[in-house]
Amino acid sequence: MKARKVTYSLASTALFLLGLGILTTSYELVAVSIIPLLFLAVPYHVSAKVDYAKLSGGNHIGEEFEAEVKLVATGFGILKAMHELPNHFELVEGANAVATFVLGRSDVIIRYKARPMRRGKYRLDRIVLEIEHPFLAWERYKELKVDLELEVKQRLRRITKVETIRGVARSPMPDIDISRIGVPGTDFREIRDYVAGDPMKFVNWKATARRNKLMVNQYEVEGKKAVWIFVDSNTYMTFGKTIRNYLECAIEIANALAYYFTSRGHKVGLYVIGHGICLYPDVGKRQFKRISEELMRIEAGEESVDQAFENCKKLLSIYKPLIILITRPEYSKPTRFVSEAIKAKIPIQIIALKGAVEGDEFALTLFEILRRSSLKSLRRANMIEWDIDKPIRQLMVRVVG
Amino acid sequence: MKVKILNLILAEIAVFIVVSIAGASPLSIFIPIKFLYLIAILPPVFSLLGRNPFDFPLFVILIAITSVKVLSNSELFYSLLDALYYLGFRSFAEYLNSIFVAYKSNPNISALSALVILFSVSQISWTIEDKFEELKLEIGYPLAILGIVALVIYLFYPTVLSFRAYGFPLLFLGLIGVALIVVATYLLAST
Repeated sequence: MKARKVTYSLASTALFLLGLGILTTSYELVAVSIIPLLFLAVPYHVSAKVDYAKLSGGNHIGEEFEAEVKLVATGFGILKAMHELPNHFELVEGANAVATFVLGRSDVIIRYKARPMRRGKYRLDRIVLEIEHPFLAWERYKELKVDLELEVKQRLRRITKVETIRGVARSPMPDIDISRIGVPGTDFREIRDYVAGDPMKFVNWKATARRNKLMVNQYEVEGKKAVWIFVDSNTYMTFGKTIRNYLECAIEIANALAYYFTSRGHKVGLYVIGHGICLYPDVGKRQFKRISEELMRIEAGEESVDQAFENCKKLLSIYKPLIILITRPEYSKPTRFVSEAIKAKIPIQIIALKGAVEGDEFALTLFEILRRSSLKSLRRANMIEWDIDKPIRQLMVRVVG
Repeated sequence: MKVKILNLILAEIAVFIVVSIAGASPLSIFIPIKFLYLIAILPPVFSLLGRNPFDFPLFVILIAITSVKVLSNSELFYSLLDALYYLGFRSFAEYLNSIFVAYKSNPNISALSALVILFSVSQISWTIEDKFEELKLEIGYPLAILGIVALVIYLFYPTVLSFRAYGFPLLFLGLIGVALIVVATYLLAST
């Protein structure tokens, strides 16, 4: 219970009269000093319960949703009800808080339209009730729970046309590269020496006779090259606005890339640098869903890129995937990461995010020089610099097109 | 605006009540009562200044005027007169005593309680008006309830006060009891 302005006003009047009454030994003044307090003693009580609560839309960032919550309030007093929204929700129409004077029974409907501005799984289950004295002398708080949940995903940037160029395995375009592991298909690749465990049906008898040692046919394996997306989620990625920062941009890019490659039959893996979360490369829509859900949950963490590489080193040497590292190289300094990948003949693509930095001219120039020098050390990797404020679609065309 | 007009009316009624009390008090001997009606100018002035027409300074003035009558029943006042008498101002003390003794009467709180109720109503309505506008709520309901509560207090408070035990009003004894319970609970909880 919290005292209000009117409470202080009446209490000070009562004290003034009481003081004067005691000073003048006046029974009348002491007797009337209680009167202002009687106004404060007027009882009030409001109880409320949820009749229904519904939510529609808002499954993607920036997509409007409509919420409606009906409360049934009974009692006497002023009821203020607020459907609590997370910080990065933008109210579009209506209000998520209403006030009403309750005398007996009253229906309270909270109806509004809002827009989520950040990905995540949100529980919109809190209704905060502020019950006030009819003369606003006191207030107390209550809370109601409703069963409302909203899952906000990144809006998927789809690429429809991609220019494909045939290249060697270490090309950053894996669309036409063949996977190193998988089920052998019917396309002949080469003849090689027999290795224990090779099926007898693959033995090339003519070549065996010619060379006088067992030779087997090697066929191309089915499936396309694996792609492994490394998303940096260290704290330096969260610089900027809550709704649009480096991390949000990285997640959006990763999501779009994951969709693009999974929909084209590639094995796609994910590693979240900062939390050590690793999803092994796999194919199909289910894998995309898993990646997408994992991306939705990402918050800032702490882990070096070198540590991330060490964690997946074994798998990387098996799959030899295309690594797409989305980071801020000036902070993450992935020099060792790049050299280790190149040494292991693993193609690597870095998407270096950059954003608008505010400050005086000298500081900005200095910052840019330092950034450039850190990027220079990574010139052996394929690198794209990307401004986080630009639409992702353009970047997608540059990466995969 | 509605509340401003309401408070202006309440303030004028309060001035009228206080002038009536003053007419039956020793003050009427020192000041011609019709001059006290000049106080009625204050509420419109406060109103023009954008303040509550029944503001606290006006209330203090009205209470001060009313207190002159209260003094005729005050033991402290008579002890002061005794002190003046002892200090050598005998004739002045006797003069004041003769005036105030004539107005000595049984305590009657009805006029004073009306003044306090009017002031309380004006304070509440003035404070809640802005808040209700902010909440986009009609102020009609609370004002009606405020009026009913004020009327109930005015009608029943003197009666409640008249219930006595051991020579003291039961209400006071009850309040002292509640205060003691609160203090005792606090002391027990803190140990």
